[in-house]
Amino acid sequence: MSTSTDNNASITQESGPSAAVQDIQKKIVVRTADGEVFNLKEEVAMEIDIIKTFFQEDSISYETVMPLPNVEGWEMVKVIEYCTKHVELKHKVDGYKERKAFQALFVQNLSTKSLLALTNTANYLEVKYLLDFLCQAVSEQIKNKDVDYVRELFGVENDFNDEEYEQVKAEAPWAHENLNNDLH
Amino acid sequence: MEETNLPEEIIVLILSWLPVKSLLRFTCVSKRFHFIILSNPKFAKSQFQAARERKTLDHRLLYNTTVPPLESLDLETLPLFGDSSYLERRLLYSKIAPRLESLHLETTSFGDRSSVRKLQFPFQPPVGRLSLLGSCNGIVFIAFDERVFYIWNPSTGFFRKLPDPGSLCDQRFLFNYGVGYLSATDDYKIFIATDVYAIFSSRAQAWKKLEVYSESPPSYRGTLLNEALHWLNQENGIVAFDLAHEKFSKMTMPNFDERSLNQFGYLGVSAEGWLSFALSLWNARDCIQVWVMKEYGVHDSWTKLFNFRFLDPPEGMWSFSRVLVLETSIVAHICSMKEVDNDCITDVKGLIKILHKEEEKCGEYVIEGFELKMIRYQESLCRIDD
Repeated sequence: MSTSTDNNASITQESGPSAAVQDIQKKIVVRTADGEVFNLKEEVAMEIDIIKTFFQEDSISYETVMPLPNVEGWEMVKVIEYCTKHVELKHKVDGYKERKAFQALFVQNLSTKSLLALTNTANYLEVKYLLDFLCQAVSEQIKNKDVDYVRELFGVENDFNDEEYEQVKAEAPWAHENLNNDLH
Repeated sequence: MEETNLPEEIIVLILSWLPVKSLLRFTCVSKRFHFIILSNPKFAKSQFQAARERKTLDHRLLYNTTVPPLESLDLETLPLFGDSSYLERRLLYSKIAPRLESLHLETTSFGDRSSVRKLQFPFQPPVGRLSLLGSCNGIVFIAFDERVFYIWNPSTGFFRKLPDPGSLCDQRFLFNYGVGYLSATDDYKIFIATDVYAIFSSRAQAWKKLEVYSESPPSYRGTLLNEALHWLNQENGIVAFDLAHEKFSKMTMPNFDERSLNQFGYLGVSAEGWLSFALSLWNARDCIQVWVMKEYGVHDSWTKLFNFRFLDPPEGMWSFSRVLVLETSIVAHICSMKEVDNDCITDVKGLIKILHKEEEKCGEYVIEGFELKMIRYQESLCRIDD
């Protein structure tokens, strides 16, 4: 079942006889993997390079609904949230504190696994600044974690045998001590 | 999208935000992680540069104490001079093992034992005096016995023995030295002065003699700023050696009071990237003044930043024996002195760290040992390959 979700919708209609009248805010429509449909303001949509390429460079009509089969609905919500804020802050002279506060809230309720999924999506959608931010956020969360945690998170198999592992660990044994705190 | 099956370039991006300690731990995750983290010089460089920009580099102090050679104990004549505790002390020193350690410079309490790492040279160190020539991008440059040169990254254990300078280094004493990095050419340069000047370039993998002349020989380790090394010279001036153009130039010191009195002075770099100068006068041994040159090379831009007064100095005669002027603090090696007949014997007390912004010293770290040498370095994954 598809639902139509308007994010930051502001459709204005000119009253007048012309049928070719244009909306003041152009909208671009995308559909995510779970069938959700999103209406994006043009200026926000153009922050997402894969969308920008699709419509502008390939000159596809704005009436087309662009499919995004690799993106989940909740991810699209988050991407739109971030890009909208980014566009808003572009016009502000001193948005540093506001950006930091926004970023803290943005990741607040996301698990590390969700953050990773979102990172993958930001890479696919080609939103560089969001990708950079999410990579940083993930690194903050894994910084003090141990080797097993990282393996599990990235789905990586341990291909060291016991002897090799001890050898590699011995290259910097201090790196495995004093985790989960700020001691060095 | 799925969170597993992340493309490798994304994993590399995430890793590049991590500090060196986390990265070295994650080399144990898998062979692929080990390779990504340690076998790619580009990754090492970008991690270091990004951390430098974000000001998240980990600064550490590397220090080394030695054991006095037993021959220096004059066993026959000393007891005649009355103070047998001097002999005892020297014998005691010979029993203290030499140390090579590093500690983190920005722990809330200086010298926090948990931040101390015992280190070992990953090679057999040659016998002889050790000189810490400089550090760049996390790599420390060392000379043994004034003529055997090594590079070593204390974080990763990477090391290499550098080519022999041969006849350029016949003199038995390195009067002064320094190390710098030229980013435009990705070149590490070592400058040494014996009775001639010589430069080693990592790009050229070779030493060469310098055909330049400098009026008065500067002293010991040069301070790196703007890809040039800086030393104080005997005429109350500053000598700068530009590593890229291989040329000397001069600058003047600030007009501090009582210039004619003996004093110690040390150069460093402030947090803002200004050349800084720490000074203590003989008639005010418990005070340190710090000046900064806000405009490079402009004498009138010398500004006194603060005057620090040591509120709790050691008893008796004491002095600073080595001083590192860092961006936001000074780390000084304090020795107290005792007179035995006409000899002044120095007793190592330890290190203190003085924050620029606070009136009181912010920490003391007791180190036992003889002939302490120290250098600041940053944690990095960098290496210098052929």
